[in-house]
Amino acid sequence: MNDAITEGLSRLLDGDLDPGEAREMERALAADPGLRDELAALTRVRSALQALAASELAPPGLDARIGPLRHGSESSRPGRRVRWLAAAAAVALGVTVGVQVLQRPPSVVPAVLTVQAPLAAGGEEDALGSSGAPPPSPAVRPEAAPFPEAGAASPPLRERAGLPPGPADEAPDGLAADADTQSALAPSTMGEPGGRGGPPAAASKLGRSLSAGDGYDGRSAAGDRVAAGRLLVFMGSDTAWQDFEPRAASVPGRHAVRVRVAGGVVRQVWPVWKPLAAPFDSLQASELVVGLAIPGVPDGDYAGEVVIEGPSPPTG
Amino acid sequence: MDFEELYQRFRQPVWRLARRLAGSEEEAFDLCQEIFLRVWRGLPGFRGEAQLSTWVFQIAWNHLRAHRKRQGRRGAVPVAAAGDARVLLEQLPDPRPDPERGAAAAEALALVAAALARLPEHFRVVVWLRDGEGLSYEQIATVLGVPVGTVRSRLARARALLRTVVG
Repeated sequence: MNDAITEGLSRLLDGDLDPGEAREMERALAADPGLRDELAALTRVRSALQALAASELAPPGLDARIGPLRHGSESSRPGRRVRWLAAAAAVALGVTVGVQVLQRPPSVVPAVLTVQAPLAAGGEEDALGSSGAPPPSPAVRPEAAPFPEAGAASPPLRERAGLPPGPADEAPDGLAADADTQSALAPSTMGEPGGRGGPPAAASKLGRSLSAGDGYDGRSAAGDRVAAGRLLVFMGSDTAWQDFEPRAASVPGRHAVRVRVAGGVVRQVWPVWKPLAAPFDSLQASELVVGLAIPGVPDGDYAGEVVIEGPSPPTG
Repeated sequence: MDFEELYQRFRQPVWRLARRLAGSEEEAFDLCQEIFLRVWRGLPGFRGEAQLSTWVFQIAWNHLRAHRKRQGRRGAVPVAAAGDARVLLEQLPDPRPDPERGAAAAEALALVAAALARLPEHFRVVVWLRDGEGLSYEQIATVLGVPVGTVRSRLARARALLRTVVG
């Protein structure tokens, strides 16, 4: 089929042909069943795209992100917020002092699902570690303002954690006027190796951080790491998290999930739908944190993230 | 029109466009925020010479395109020659049904989204603005800053490419 006919059919579909062109095309259609099939296929393409448009909804977190603009204030304009969260959470194998750099919106999920192999079978206790219920998240602040000044509470937290200034300290709380400046200050996409907005230089007694943006792929120093995991639950402008001990076979990486919390416990975790993701692998990763106690988080569904750091699973 | 009204009206379309052109949901989220900040800043100067939807999409497209340029990425698919349909067709997903995955609607949409993502950006944005968002040829031409004839030809090519998957 030549380009002129292809374009003619496309324009016919949109009613873009002038009367003469339309008559000519209709004659051609009447004489050629193949052409009619082609037109029907193009109609299906349009319907499919319309269905796709209807199925895609902006994440609820966008409203919060745009909130200051909607209320007429640029002074507290939304931006790529930089939030330092200090955590001291006991896990089965020791104490992790980590700093979480969250420069991403609450309901946004990382781009890359890095699960590559199934996890070992086992009960919830195994997933949660032998220490029983993990300590509560220190970061639950349900009443927090929608757009707290970035870093307002961060320096004390960071000082308490004994951490040096991180690269995100210089980032503004809002969008810079200049696009390039925005880009330069912007955090990397979660899961992107080598991106900006990585973890502070010092993070953990275990020699690793569960911070966002570190691009950890689980391949480096796999043999000398102690497995650790963290579930983050993004609640509007707040974040809660719990550390847990993943199973040995858990695949390191960052896993975007949706989290259902009821009665202070994570009841269900499911992967964020990705057209090209391997759904079963990511589901297996999510099973790790089901049943994890996360007190202080109101019942509901949230965006979340499972970060697993530790030895790579056996290969081959 | 105040910003809140505008935001409510264009929140979904801008998100969808960003989603079509961004590499990830996360990136789309940030881009959406930046687009609406630009819209917010530009709204006082909007005098209605263009349709509001055209104006908003134009801001969105310009920002998304600039973002892509900064990233040094042109399109999802490396295309030796933009007009070489055969090269593109080979890179589109296999349209044959996968018996293991079934024919659930979500998966069908996933296939469409994946096929769309593999189109070169200049095809993808045209077919999305037309079929996904319902803009007219003239509106699309204004948004993209190209002649209407270019919109027609790109749209036809984009549909023909998608037809191999969806049709």
